[in-house]
Amino acid sequence: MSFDTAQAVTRAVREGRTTAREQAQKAIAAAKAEPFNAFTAIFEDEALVQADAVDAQLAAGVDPGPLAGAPFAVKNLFDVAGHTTLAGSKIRRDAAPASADAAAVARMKAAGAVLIGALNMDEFAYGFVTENAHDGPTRNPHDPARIAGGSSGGSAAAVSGGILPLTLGSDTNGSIRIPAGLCGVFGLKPTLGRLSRAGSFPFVHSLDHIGPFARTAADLALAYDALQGEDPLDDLSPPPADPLSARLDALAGQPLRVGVLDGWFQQGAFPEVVEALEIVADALQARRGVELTGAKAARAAAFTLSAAEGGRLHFDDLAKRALDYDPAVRDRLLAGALLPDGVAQAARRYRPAFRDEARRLFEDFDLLLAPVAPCPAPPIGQATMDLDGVPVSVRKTLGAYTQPISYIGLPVIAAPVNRPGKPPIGVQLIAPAWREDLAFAAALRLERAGVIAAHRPPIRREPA
Amino acid sequence: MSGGDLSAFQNLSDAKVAAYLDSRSADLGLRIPESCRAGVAENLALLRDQTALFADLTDDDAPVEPFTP
Repeated sequence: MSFDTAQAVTRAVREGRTTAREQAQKAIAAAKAEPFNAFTAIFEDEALVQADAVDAQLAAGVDPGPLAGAPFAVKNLFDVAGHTTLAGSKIRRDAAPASADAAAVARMKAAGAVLIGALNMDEFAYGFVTENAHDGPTRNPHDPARIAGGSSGGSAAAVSGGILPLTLGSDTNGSIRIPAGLCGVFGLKPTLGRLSRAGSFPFVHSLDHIGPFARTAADLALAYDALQGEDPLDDLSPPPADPLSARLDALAGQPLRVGVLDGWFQQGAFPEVVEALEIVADALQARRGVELTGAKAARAAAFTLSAAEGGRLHFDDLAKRALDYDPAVRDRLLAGALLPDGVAQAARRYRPAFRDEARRLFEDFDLLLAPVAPCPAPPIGQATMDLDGVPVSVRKTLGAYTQPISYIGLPVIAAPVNRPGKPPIGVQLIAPAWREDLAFAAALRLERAGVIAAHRPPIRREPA
Repeated sequence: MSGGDLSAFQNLSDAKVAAYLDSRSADLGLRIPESCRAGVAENLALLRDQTALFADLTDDDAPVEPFTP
C-alpha cells in the first residue's frame, strides 16, 4: 500500500526519483493483495505497456501530461478497450469487449495516468452498499466488517485503502458521495453535463454523472482538470473546460457565504453526523437553519425517476433473464418497468421547480452544507436501519441527503471530516451549477485548516 | 411498452398492488417470475408512496422541457 498523493507520485516520476513502471508495479502488487474486494480486474500487461510509454516520453523530453505516471482504476461500468464492461452484472459477462476506452478513461490516460484495473460496484449502479451478489461485498478499509458504500464502493475503498491515489466512479443519486463519505476520502460529483459520460454504462440517463475520488483536494482537482473537455458523444455537451489546479492557493483564500441545510437534510441524522457537520459549519462561519424547500419531494422524484428509467433501460434483459440479476436490484428494476409512463414525466416536470428553489438560495450563499449520509457505514449484511425511529432499507435510504442535489445536477464535493480514530463521516460541499470552483475553494480551505482530512485506515492483518 | 394511468396508480390500495402488477405486466408482456412477485409488489407500493410526494406539485399538462442545471 502507498498513501502517496498523485501529485507526489507525478513529481517523483518527473524528477527521475521513480519511474511510471515502478509505480504501476507497486499499484498492481497492492491491487492483487488488497483485502477489501475493491478490484474485479487488474490490467497488468496493458498497465506496464502504458507506464513504459510514459517513461519513454520523459526520457525523450516529451511531457506525458499533468498526471504522469499516477496509477488509477475505474468502476467497472467504464469501457476499457479490449475488456468487457460488466457494470457489476452477471448478464454482461459474455458481452463483447469494448472497442474503445470511455472518454473519461481516455482523458486520464492522455494526461499520463496509468490504468491499473476495474473496481467493484452495485449491479448496474443501483444501490448504495456495494454488496454485489456476483462479486461479493466491498469492505470498508476503516472497518472491514462494514460496507464501503455504493454504488462506487470499489472506487472509494481502493483510494481509502492506499491501493492507488485516484479512481473514477459514477453518481446518479449519490454513488460517488456516499462511498466517499463512508470510506473517508474526497469525491467529486460535478455539475450534470460537466464531464463526459460517453463510454460509461448508463443507469438513469437524466441523472447520471461521472467523477473522481482522491485523498486530497488538490489530487481531486488534478483529476477533475484532466477529465474536462467538450465531447460530441455525450448529448449533454459539456461546456468549455474550467481548469482549477493552477489556482488552488487563490481559491483557498476566497471569501465564501455558506449556509447549512436543515430540515430534510438533517432529518434522522445520527448525533455524530450532526456533530461532524457542525465542525465544518463553524470553520466556514456558516449560517444555520437554511431550508431548501421541496427537498423531500425532490428526493422522491429522483427515487422514482431512477426506477422508471432504469426499468425501461433493462426491459428487454429483464424479460429474458430476470433471474440472472442481483435479487436486490432485480425487484427494483422490475417494479420500475411496471410504472405508468406518467410517473417519469411527473418526476421530470418537477425538476425545474426544485432547481429554481435552489437558485433562489444561491442568491444569498456561495455554498451549502449537508451531511453525505444519515449515519456512518453500517455493517455488511444489515438490511434495515433506524431513521427517526422508523426501520428503513439501508440500500434505499443512505442517499436520502444526496438524491435531491443530483436530481438538479448541482456540483458537490464529498469531503471527509477530520475525526481521527473514529468512523469516517462525510459532508457535502454543494455549489451552484457550473461553480465547481466554489466547492473546491471550501474543500481547500477546510483541508488547510485541518477540518477535513482523509485518514489512513487502521492496520489490520485480516478482514473481519 | 407505454401507457398506464398515473392517477389510477397513485390511488392503488395496498390490497390492489398485486392485481396491478399482474395486469400491467400482462399489458407490457413482461413476465414477473413467481419468486420475485413479493419483492416487486413491495417496491411498487413504495414507488406509489414516493410518487404521491411530487406528482401533484406540477401541472399535468405542462410540457417537459430539456433540463439544464
